[in-house]
Amino acid sequence: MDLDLSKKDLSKMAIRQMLILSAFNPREMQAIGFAYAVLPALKRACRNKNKGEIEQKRKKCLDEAVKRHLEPFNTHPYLGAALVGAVSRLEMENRPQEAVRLKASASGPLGGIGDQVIWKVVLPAIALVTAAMESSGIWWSFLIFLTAFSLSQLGIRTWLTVKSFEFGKDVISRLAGLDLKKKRWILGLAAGIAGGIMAWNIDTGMEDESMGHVTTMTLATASFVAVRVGISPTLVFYLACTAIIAVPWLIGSG
Amino acid sequence: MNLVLTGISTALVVGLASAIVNADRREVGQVIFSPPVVSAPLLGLVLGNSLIGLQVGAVFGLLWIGKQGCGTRKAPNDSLAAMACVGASVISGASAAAVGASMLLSVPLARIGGMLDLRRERKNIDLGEIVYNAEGSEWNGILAKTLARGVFRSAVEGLIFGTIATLMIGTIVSLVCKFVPPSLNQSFKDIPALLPACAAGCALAAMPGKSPAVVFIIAALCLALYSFLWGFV
Repeated sequence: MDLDLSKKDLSKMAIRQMLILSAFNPREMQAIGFAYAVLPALKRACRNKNKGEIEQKRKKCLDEAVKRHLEPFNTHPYLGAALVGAVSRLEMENRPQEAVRLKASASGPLGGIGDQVIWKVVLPAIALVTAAMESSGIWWSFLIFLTAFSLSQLGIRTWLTVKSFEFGKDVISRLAGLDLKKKRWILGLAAGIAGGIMAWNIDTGMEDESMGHVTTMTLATASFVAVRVGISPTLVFYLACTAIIAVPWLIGSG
Repeated sequence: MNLVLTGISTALVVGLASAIVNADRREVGQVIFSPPVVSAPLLGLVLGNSLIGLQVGAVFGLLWIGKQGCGTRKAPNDSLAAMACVGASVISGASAAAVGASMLLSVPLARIGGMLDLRRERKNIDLGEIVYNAEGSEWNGILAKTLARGVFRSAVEGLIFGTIATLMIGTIVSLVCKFVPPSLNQSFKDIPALLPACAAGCALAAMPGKSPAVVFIIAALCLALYSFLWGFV
């Protein structure tokens, strides 16, 4: 059986994977984007399976294959790249039922891992350091986020698509085996760097610099406690604004 | 007249940027340029005031970081709010007070943006129906067109929302800065400088465990003490 997808087809799949949420809706979720991403492999699989057959039979095969992947599907958009590759490989190996089962069984765990690692650890850590640098007035700080997160995620997704096509389900079982607790140190490191940058460089506009530091730390601690006790960040924002406006005004008018 | 034209052209630039950012947020690429820590400074640079972009990015980039894309929980659209805030600050004079007032008024936009995201997702059900009803068709074309329609919807929403929100908030902030008492106007100036600390507190609270917050405060105290002693020497 010919399992070789051309480099062009693999690149197509990797690029199309970036569009997985383009037609996201509560019913099919990411299914349309997923079907579009695996389409080059489905076409190739149907061509291989029906060599020498009439065009109509190939079309029917592709129809069935696409409809198979239009069933509701949802996972983490970045780690979904691994499923695009692995499912494509299973389809090309003429194991369609296994492909459907893999999608159904792996989408939940991959979604959970993506949420816990990417949305809860990696994104906040890099955003915190970038924002601390921005609050210190470093104009190029957004480049830190662009390189450390944005470009890396594009690279990792491309790599995942290609590797999971090469190694099939192994990549997914390795991803599913990630030890989440070990990744928490990233947050500590980022918080330390951000705290240091903010204390070192922040310009509060106050004449007394030490007073500025005290105010900044008080605000950060109070906001932390407020959100932890269940107050929404939006309300915390307005409470902080009220304090920032009212305190100097009251002191001034007093 | 000239001011009005400048305001409208700025709002249109913000609208275009919002279109790109809104499409990037979910539909294309997912989180490349769209986080406020990237999009706000970039827009600031385009509009000729990088400092405003940095101030807005630092606050809006952290405030709702704990509510980002987990399952079905819907996140506020911090990207559109940040874009409108930068645009409104520039339109209303780019002073520190204008930035502070714009931040105050732009925060609810994130909620409205989040609701628009939800509405668009529900509307996208029709795209699913188009694909499901397609029989023996050219799949490449039909899937590509369907996805392109999803991207187009998102971009158009961003364009309209960004332009209108910028014009509205810019106008209100200009009036506020003109008519409020000078002492209150003075207080608005402290908002952009102090709010990053509040946003950092919110972001730390969204992280699992207490250790990031403890490390943050220890590092900040150490550095503050060091700079204080260094100042003495």
